[in-house]
Amino acid sequence: MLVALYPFVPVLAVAISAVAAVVILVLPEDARRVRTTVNLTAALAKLGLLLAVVPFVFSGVYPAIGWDLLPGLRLELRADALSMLFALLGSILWLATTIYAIGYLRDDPHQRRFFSFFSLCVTATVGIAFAGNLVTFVVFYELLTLVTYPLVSHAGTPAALKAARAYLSYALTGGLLVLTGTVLLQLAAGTTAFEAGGTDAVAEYAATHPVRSVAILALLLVGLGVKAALVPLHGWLPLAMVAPAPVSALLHAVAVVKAGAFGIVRVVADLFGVEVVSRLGVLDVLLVWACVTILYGSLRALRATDLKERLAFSTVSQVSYITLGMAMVSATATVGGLVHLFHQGITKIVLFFCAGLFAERWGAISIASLAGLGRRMPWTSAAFTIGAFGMIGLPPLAGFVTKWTLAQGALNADRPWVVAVLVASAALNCGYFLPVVIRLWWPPTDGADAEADAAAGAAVAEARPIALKAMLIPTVLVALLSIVAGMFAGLEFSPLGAAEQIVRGAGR
Amino acid sequence: MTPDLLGPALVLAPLVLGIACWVVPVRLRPATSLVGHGLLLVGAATLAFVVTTAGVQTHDLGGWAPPLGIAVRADGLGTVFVLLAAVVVFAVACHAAAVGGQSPSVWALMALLQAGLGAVFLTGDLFNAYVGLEIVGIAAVGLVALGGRAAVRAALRYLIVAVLGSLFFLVAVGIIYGTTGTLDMALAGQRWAASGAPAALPLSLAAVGLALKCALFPLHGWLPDAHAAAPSAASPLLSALVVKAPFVVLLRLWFEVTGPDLATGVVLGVLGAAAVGWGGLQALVQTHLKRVVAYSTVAQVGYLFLAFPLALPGGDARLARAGVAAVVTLAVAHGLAKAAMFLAASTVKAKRGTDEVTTLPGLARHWPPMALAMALATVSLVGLPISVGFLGKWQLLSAAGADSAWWLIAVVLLGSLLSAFYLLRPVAGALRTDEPDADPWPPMPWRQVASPLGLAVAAGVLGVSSTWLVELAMVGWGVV
Repeated sequence: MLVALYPFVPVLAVAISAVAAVVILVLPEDARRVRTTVNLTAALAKLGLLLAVVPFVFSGVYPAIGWDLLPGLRLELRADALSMLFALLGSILWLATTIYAIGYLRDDPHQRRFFSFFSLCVTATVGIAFAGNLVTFVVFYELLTLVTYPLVSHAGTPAALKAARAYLSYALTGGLLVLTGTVLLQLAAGTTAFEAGGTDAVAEYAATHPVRSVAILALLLVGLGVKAALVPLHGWLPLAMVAPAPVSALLHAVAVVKAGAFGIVRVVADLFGVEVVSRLGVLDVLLVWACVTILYGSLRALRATDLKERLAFSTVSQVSYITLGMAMVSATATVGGLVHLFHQGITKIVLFFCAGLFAERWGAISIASLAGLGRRMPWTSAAFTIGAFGMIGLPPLAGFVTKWTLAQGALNADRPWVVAVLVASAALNCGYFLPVVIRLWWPPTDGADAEADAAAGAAVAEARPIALKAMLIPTVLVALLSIVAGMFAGLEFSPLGAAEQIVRGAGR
Repeated sequence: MTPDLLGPALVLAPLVLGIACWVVPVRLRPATSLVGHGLLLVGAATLAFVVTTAGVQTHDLGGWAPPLGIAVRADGLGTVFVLLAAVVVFAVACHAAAVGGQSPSVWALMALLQAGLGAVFLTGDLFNAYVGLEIVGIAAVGLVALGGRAAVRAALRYLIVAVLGSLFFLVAVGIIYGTTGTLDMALAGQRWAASGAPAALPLSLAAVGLALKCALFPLHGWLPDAHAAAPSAASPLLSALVVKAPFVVLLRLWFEVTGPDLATGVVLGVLGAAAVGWGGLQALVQTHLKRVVAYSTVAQVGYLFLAFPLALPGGDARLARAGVAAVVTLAVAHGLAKAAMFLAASTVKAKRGTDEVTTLPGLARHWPPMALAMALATVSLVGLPISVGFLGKWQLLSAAGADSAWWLIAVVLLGSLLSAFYLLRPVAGALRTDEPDADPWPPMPWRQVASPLGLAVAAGVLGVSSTWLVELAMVGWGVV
């Protein structure tokens, strides 16, 4: 019985949040308690389902199910080890963000719309995780673009609408490029299946038609680069920070930006194969592109005066570590890229949660206004500090594991200059995160200013009611998770262990 | 009843229904119409099932085989469109009954329209196709004219266009008859091929006439006025179905009768591409929702004509087939989604007295199901997943890629972006909450949302798998 149901796991995982979205849409706006129950039940059910099948998937038995969209064109949902890593990240953070959002939006008049599209956003993300071929990936990738639009424009202000429109322009254009590349690849190779290490038919085609393969690869990577925010395709990301804090958190940590990065992982590692991409001469281009983005994002973050803006540019930089890991012919580098998929997610979401807390509780939006908040909001400030140290890559936090692995990979792949880029980036990370941390805990000794800020903050806190505990608890828990993930990275079921198994299983 | 009688029944039954809707008392007309169109829908679904399982159904009227008699021929292509027509007409009739306040003539005209569509889609005879097109034209002009004083001018212009288009088509049919001595499509096709006569003359004449009726750029000038001025029960039918009838006839001429022609194909393809661009740009600058949707039809009709440059003389027959499958899927997608969009737009206009795009903010809050219908229809019209529009676009891109027709790929991509932006304006507006004025939002009962929402959901559900649709459309579809 249970064995017969096993192939349906991916569909079920996708369906849980889709059903939740429909239920929430049908419920009346004021049915808050029921909506909260539906939200949490669905988030817990999905996480539970995924955790239950982890051992089976990592033992190499992949549940898969599919059907024909058109004659000869298959939609395939399949859970391999890499899918599980991404889907688990999505489910954990969905649960955390849902709780946070319930607190954040306590008296928001459009909660029905928000939570409905929020659930659809997770549906699309999990669909992306479980896509068994590029066709399926494109279907959910485009769906993700659509369902995040109402989330980005949620506030309804002119700035929010403008940002949402910019986001849609970028994402739709990128999506069309990916679509075109997918259509051409399907025509050329007859398949777009993801197989660990690359698909044979695609490799054959790449060997016989190198020029066309490069063109297809370019379409795919440029299209995916839009969501992955590779410079200069990142323009939408800093604008999109006008979205409500939980949306920014999810966008930066797991949904949109990650979908682009995950797509690059799939295309490079599981469709063409790293060696094939390297033979086509595209891999080094990608490597340089990732390095440029890493440095550019950090430099812009350094100049930002607004906390959310600084975090947004930090995302531009940090997400490119994933691409960086894919862009070197080295198993260790691949592991570093994959583990960062998880680590960046749990670290970045904490930072955005904190930014939302600072803004809602004390009206602190600019970095200058954070001064001394460590005393007033110790838990939030502590979580922020953990997140910031994680991003910088201090041991034993999660970010250190990533950077260490990537640096080793760079040496293995005979690209020692990449280590220099990593070191420079870490220095820049310090440059833009440490001042924030220092300001939080050790404010400049100008008491009058701090008093004024506190008064302003109190006014904001009264104007917009939030449920502080609901926001604080997930923030602190995820921050702890990022410590645990780093400290126990040596264990088999840590993110690092999982990434190593994924790569080992692929025989790379 | 043998299955081959289903075809003739689906042509004649709507005529009977039309008469019934004309003679029964006015208050009974909606009920009569609903029952009738419901039964026709069942009939069309049965035909689709029969054609899928048992192949093409041909019935020689009166037992006389062509060339003496006339054949009613239900192949896959015709069946798909008959099914589409039955679905859309039924939904529109339901909506008309739910909204009420219709002109008493609307029911008979709807049935007449369906009879004409049936005659066009299910025929193996050139003259029958002509007669069918005329019936469609008359019914459509009548439907536009129901829009009141404002619509009379548009209706008159439409009438002239329809008659002119038929004239060109009739001359083309005359030339074919003169050469082959028959009006039966299959027979005329064989004899035409044997005669070695070039396809250019009849095909280009027919193309001009039919393109005029389809509103292919630059012959589209009549459409936006006619479609936007028509009453709420008419514009969805006009946009979703009426422009498809001449297109199907042109497909049949091209593939089954005269065979392809290089110059005509290239010109039609270029005009189709221009329509995608021009219609999209025009839709972008319209201030009223119904006109945005009407110009969107001009653009979407353009996609259909991209099938011809994929089926030029000496080309790969499999490729031509793929092109046809793609545009048929797109036509179905457009039929469902555009009908949903027009029903929504008309309802908004009827309820609030205006369909200006700037008055839409607040719609999603007051009428969430209506906003949902508009959003889902938009997804399909733009060709995003999960919708049948996406699958149509996929097929078109795939056929263009297989033909190395890069310019077609560019047209499809640019057209998608344009459509995203001209439809985003009203739909994103509807999602906004900053209402510009205190205009009332009268209650919107579920039964008045059911049709647009149902059609839009159908376009989405069909996007989960359209395999059966494509396989049905290709039944008995000989490609030159």
